[in-house]
Amino acid sequence: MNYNLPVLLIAIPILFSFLSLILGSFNKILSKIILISVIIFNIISGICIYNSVLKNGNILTVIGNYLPPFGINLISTYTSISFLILLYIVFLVASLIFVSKNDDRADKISSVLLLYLASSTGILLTGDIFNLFVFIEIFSISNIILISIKDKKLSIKGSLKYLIITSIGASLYLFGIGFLYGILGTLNLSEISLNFDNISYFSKVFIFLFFLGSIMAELEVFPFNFWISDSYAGSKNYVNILLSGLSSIVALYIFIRLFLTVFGYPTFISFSYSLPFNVKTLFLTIFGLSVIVNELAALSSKNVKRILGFSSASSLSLILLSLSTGLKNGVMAAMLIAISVIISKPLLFLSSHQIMKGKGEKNLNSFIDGFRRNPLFSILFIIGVFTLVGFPLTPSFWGKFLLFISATEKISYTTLILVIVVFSITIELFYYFRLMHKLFIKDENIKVEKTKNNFVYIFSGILLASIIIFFSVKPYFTQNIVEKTTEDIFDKSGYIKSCLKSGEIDDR
Amino acid sequence: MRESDFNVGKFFAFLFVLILFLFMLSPLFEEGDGAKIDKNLSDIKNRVSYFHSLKSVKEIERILSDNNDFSKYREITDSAKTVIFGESKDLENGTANLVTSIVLDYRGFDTLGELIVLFISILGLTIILSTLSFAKFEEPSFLQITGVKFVTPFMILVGIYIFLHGHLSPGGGFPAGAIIATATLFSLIGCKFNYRVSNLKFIESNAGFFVILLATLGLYFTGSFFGNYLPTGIVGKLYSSSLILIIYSLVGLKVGAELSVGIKTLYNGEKDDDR
Repeated sequence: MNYNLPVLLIAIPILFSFLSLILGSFNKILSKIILISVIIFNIISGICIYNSVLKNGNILTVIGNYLPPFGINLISTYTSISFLILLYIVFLVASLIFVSKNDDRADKISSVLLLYLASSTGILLTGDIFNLFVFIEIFSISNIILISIKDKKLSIKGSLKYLIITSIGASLYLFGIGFLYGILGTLNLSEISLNFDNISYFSKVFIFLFFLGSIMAELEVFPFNFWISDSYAGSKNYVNILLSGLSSIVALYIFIRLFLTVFGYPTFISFSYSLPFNVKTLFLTIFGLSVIVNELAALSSKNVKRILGFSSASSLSLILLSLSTGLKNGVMAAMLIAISVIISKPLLFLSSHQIMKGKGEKNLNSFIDGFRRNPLFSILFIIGVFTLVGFPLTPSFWGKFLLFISATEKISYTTLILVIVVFSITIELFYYFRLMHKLFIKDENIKVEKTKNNFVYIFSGILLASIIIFFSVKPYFTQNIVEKTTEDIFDKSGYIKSCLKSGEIDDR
Repeated sequence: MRESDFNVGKFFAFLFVLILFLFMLSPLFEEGDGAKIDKNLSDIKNRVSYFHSLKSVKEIERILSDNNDFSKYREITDSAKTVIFGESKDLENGTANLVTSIVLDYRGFDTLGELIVLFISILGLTIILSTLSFAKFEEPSFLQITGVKFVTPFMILVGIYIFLHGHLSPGGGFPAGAIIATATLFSLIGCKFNYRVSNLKFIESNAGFFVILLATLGLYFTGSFFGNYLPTGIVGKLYSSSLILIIYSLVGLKVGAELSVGIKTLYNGEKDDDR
């Protein structure tokens, strides 16, 4: 097994993003072919790396021939590589939809999409805190461009809002890195997590809050969630898929790496923090509030894309809430909910777009009589809703079940977590069932014309739905993946050892 | 209430930023220990950045490969080879400029990322502004035309000088590119020199392509991405640290072309672009 394969997952998309511009100036179709073939290359090599990680454990990739902690390095852990494959599937769906459409700027947009792919891969694989910042920067700039390409007032407004919020986040992150580098003299994640305990209390709090503030902007968490309303409603269909599916994976992974691996101390069953204030209470307050506010915003919206956008933000907050309980069951619940959210949200965006096709306004009433117009995508929409809400047998159901169980264990604010989860499920059920009810309202006076579905939409919709069904009917398979991921997240010393080789950590 | 007005969120965001700001100011009113760290870490020789500034990373790596303990062998680096300007040969990266060796060698992957940040920003500018135009410049006066014709060639020369000497003196690809782009801005405003955006884009994407290609070739020659596989030469000579010289030249060309594209797009959209 070649240990340099992970770096090609980043280098090849960047290389071909330049080629896509050069060749696209001759023929736009060439840049579309490049986009699809690069993604297929990434999926295949991602599966190769997955197999290798299963066999040999974490893989270290050295860049520039300088061993860590001196140079930059990539670490492929089980968590990152399984997130990566999930990410590539969602990305494949989005780019297939992009390819099926005619666009004058296809060469430029496919170049942006390739850089988006490279940056999200980089975020998931890198083992260096400044390198993470660089990739986050590329990621957010490509998000800004993709939101704005619809050339409407709303999309420009949405992308400007996103620009402001991410630049605040990025500057906070940079402050945090500056402090860390000034104190510890290193940028390597493993080296930082080894020595973070030795810093004085005051600087520890300082650094922690800087990173928390910056990551909250990426995470669509409550005080920073006002960009959702315009960004989702004003952007194109495939951009919605990328925003809801891909951004969640990336943000979730950054949270896991920074706040669980670097700043946290895993024991046998739970994470703890050596900070002078109660971190878990802080997390619980932020994410609990975020769940409630996002659900209420989704409930009060009339635009379907806006509903779905706020709903995806609230489910991301729910995942973070169950992660921040710090228990093994909570982390497992988070992974289960994450799987269902990441796959069902793109499905919901896709099918709602097809159901509302041909309608001028994309509000609640454009769903009326949707089943007679487009039966296939109505069924897919219903599958998506059931997966998201937590219908029995779907991964989301088991996730919420585990969250209930973990809440009965001895942790603080047990009832509060239960109340938040029940509240969110109730509101989610209400506004999704309102949409589903509209699908079956028959208007006898109007003659219904069946919508013609593009082949690409049918293919990607059925692909996503079959993945959900596969995860639901094979619970042991899902359980296996989720348990391994959880073990990997809790294995802090393994992460450090795979990077520094000599790293020793006291398992407190 | 309109849907897009989500004022509660704005209020809480403001509150959060305010609290963070107050927290930032709090050390002014405290008598804390400051950034006090462990004994082991307060020794500056224990830090990674120390070896970067000594430019002896390979040396310490060789020592570490025998015994994997970072802290035990730190005394040995004091006896690292002293670098003599104009005499020392085949160092780990033959740059005379410390900043360049950090930017393009120890942390070359980050610089690649920053290059792409600039690239994607200009790409976004051309995507968003391609349908708009802002041509509102006054006719250049006689003084402007003469001055620009006199100054511009020298500016381009200085830009080329700076990126060719990036490994020897302060400067490098990014400032050189900015200088070249300023020259094109002068020629655009001063004498309405109408360069084609498509040509500049061709230079830009080709330069980017070759930077990545050179970095990827390191996989073949040294077994590591961004590894240095060309001879490093004698410190202080122009033809030393060949890979860094080539990459910095490409970066200079790329940044210059990129910023010129940005300027032209802001000047009159992509109107003269025949595509």
